[in-house]
Amino acid sequence: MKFSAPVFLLGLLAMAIPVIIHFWKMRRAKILRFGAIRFLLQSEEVTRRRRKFWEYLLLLCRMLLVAAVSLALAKPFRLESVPAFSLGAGQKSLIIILDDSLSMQRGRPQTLFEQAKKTALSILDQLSDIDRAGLILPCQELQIDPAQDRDPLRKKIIASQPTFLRARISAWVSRSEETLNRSGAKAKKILVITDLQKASFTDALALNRFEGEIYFYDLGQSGLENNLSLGPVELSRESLSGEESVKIAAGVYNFSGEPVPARLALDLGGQSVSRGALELKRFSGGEKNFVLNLRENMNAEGKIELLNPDALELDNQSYFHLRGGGRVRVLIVDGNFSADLTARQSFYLERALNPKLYALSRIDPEVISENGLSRIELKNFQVIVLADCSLLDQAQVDRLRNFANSGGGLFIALGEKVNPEKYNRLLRDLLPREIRETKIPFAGAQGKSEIQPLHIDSSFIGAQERHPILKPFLSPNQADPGHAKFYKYFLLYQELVPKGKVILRLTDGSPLLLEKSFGQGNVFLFASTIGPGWNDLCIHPAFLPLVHQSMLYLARSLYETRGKGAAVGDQVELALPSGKSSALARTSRGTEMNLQPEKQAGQSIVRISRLLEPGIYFFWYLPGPEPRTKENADFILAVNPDPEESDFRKISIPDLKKILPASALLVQTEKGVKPGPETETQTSFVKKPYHANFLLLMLALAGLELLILLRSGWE
Amino acid sequence: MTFCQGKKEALDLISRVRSLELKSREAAEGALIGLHRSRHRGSSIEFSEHRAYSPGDEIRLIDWKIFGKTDRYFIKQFEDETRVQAYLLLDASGSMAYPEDRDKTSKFEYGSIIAAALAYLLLGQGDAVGLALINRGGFNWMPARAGERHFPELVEMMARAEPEGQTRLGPLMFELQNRISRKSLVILVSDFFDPEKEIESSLKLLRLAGNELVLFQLLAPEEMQFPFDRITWFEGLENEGRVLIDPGQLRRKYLNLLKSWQDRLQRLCQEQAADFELFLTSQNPGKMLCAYLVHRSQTQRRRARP
Repeated sequence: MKFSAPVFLLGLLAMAIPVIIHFWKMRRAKILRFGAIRFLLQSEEVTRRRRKFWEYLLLLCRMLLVAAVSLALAKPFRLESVPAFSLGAGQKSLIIILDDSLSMQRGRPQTLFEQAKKTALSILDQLSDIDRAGLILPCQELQIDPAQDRDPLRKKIIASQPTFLRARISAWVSRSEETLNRSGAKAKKILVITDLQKASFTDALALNRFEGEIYFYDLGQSGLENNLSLGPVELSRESLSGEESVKIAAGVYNFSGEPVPARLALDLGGQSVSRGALELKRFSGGEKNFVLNLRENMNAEGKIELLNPDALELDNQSYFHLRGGGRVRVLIVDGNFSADLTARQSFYLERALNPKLYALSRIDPEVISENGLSRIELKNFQVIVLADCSLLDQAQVDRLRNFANSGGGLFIALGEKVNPEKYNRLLRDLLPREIRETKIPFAGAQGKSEIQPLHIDSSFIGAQERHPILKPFLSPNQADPGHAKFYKYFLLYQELVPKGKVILRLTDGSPLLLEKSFGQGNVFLFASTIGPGWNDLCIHPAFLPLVHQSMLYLARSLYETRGKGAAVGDQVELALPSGKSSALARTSRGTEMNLQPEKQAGQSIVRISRLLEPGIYFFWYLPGPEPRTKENADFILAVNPDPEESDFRKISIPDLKKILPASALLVQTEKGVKPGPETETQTSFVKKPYHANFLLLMLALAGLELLILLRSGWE
Repeated sequence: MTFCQGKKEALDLISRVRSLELKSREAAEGALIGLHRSRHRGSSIEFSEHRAYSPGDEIRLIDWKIFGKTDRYFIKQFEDETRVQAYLLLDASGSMAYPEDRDKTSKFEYGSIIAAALAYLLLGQGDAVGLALINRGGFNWMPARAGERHFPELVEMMARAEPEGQTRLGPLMFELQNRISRKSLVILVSDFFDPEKEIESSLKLLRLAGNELVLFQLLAPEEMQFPFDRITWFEGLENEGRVLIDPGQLRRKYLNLLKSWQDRLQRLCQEQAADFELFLTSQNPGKMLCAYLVHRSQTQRRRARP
């Protein structure tokens, strides 16, 4: 504590005045010989302790009051170090880059970002009137070009808030250099107020040597603060029949220099459902798995939370969303319907979809003949399977079209009864591709050895962009669909602009299973028979998971086992279904965004260019059902911070100099200056007065004294 | 002591005696009502009761009318104003010197006036009056005598006394009781700032001996109201020491203690069937005494005619 007017500190001697008055009053007191002294002595004995306490409290209060007056008059202040870069006396152009990334939200009691704002304001105060100053908030992508009027900068700095994003400091330094070079100013300076986090300097830039000076004011402490972080949550379905469960895998990272036992909690639907721990070595990551049994019709927001206290708490949550799991009614229209069950095309499919006695299934299949289709109310079903149907008439096809358009799933399996011309004519817009002729891969074979059936190409399953129905086949415990033999199948026409996408191919490259979205529904086309006519898939173990997954997917009842959710800062693009004009997004914090469509390659797309905060995002296509609830959301996205932003390790000064070549580069910390070889500087200080605190103390003490006096008066 | 000093003190004493005589006579004038009734039966016009004749009784006292009706001898008894032995026990301890201001009447002076007035009245009725001045851990004794010539002796003894020293009633009371030869009227005049147990034991002792007890408590108005407001060293008059006190802080507690002490004292008196009267030194002693005596005579009459 230092003082502007230390002479007033002599007033502290006046603290003795209350004590002197106290003793003087005692000495000055008259002596009175009193008869009933006995009662006085008794009264005094009873109340002595309490009276002494209040007397001494009052005395102390008065002494502190005198001291507070003296200290307030002495105008105390403390010195705060501020960057003392040699900004120079001449006119200069300065751009301040204020790091507003997630890592700047650490620090107690004041966050690094708050410190950075103070430093930026004090730098502005040091500039002369002829200087020009600009501001960049990199995460908010806000840039104010250098100007003499500094009030807008001050207002912006005071109002600015840190983000959950990662700052690309080197890219913004490069932009600042361009701006300053364009301005033609002689003295060009860039000041970056940051924690010098390594992750902020990962952009590979080929920068020319900057003819100005770059200063870094380093607010980050050691960069080795104890910090744990969570990566995105990966969900995977554990079983296909029986009691379904989901494996929830969370990446956990330890960015501290010590091994840490990480403690985690799993929340689902606002309730804590599981806890776990994971030993993590220094600067390493690991994966923690939770397995949850699922119930039907699940729609819950989930969160994995790190319970260890650490430097930054905002990166200790990772969000996910679980949805799906309702019962699914499937109508199988069997083209070979007969009283003999085994002769039916759908015999194996029906049993696979609900093995009844052998395992639990949430699919309820119902088999009918083609003639029976006209008598069935289609809206009672979520999926319709056409198994080798000859397609009776246009009216039936129109019903199927309306069914798919309103969100139903259609699975078209081909076979002997299928007439390609009739199919292409009647189902033209429903089919993912037009049907050509059948093919027997070993037609014309002369002997048994030449009969070479085709198989499903398994490489599709491991592909990066695999279809959700194929995800279970990644597990080593799951059967390989590639073992099934295909003897006959329909070839499909190639299209310049594909209407649908291929889910599975045969080993000769022919598409086997294709998908097309139609209205609000989806259509699958299976190019062979679903029964045992043209292939033996139905007797292979992979048949059951494949048809289960397909039916659940078409019924939109598959648990959404989304791989990686989005990260904060990512762009999100959603294709608007036909009949929808816009979309509405709502974050779990309640922020709403109206998303207007843009045309891209003939398709309407809505876009959020940057996801700004972590949490669960719900999307509804408009117009849509009212009220908009989480249950009827068309798309749900879990957004989590980038774990790299939780790594506080700093970039070294030599690395910094390599990335940002400049005529002078200087790094200053709060404790001292680490000058680059070409610059010298000093630390300077500003006075921060706080005599107002003592004035408040005076008022408080005066109030206290009044209370004590009133209290003794009441007694 | 020099002659001059001795002469001055003698003159001082004479003036004090005169003053006390005057004040006490003045106080007694308004209170000329009998203080008590005789326990001795005699001839008088006021009939008291009958009792069976026993040999030795005067023949003239036999009620012949009853003899005519019942054929038995009964003696007529009459109540008579006769000589009673009364003792005045006046507290002359240090605390009785309060207030010490010359322009105010101290408790001891006030007590002396009350005692002298009572002595005047009693002697005037032909009763015998004795005096005990209790101070310095002992007492000065004057045995009970009748006759108006005894009055100046009592007054002089009181006028000579200076209140000082500690007084403990308890230990003294045995000795006092030994000196009181027969059942008497014992009047205690004091501030009663003694321990409760000692007062209780003293009263019980006097009461067990068959004495009739009257307690006059004397207090200064300052002691009753505690009107002080400045921080003051309060010093005891009986060497209790001194204590620095902010009266404002202690007033309520002090008054509560005093009040509860007086309540206890009154309860003690009720238990021992003793009269209790509080006198403030600011009050007119004559009026106060008169009020007490009127009250006493009324209550005695009520007792006599239930």
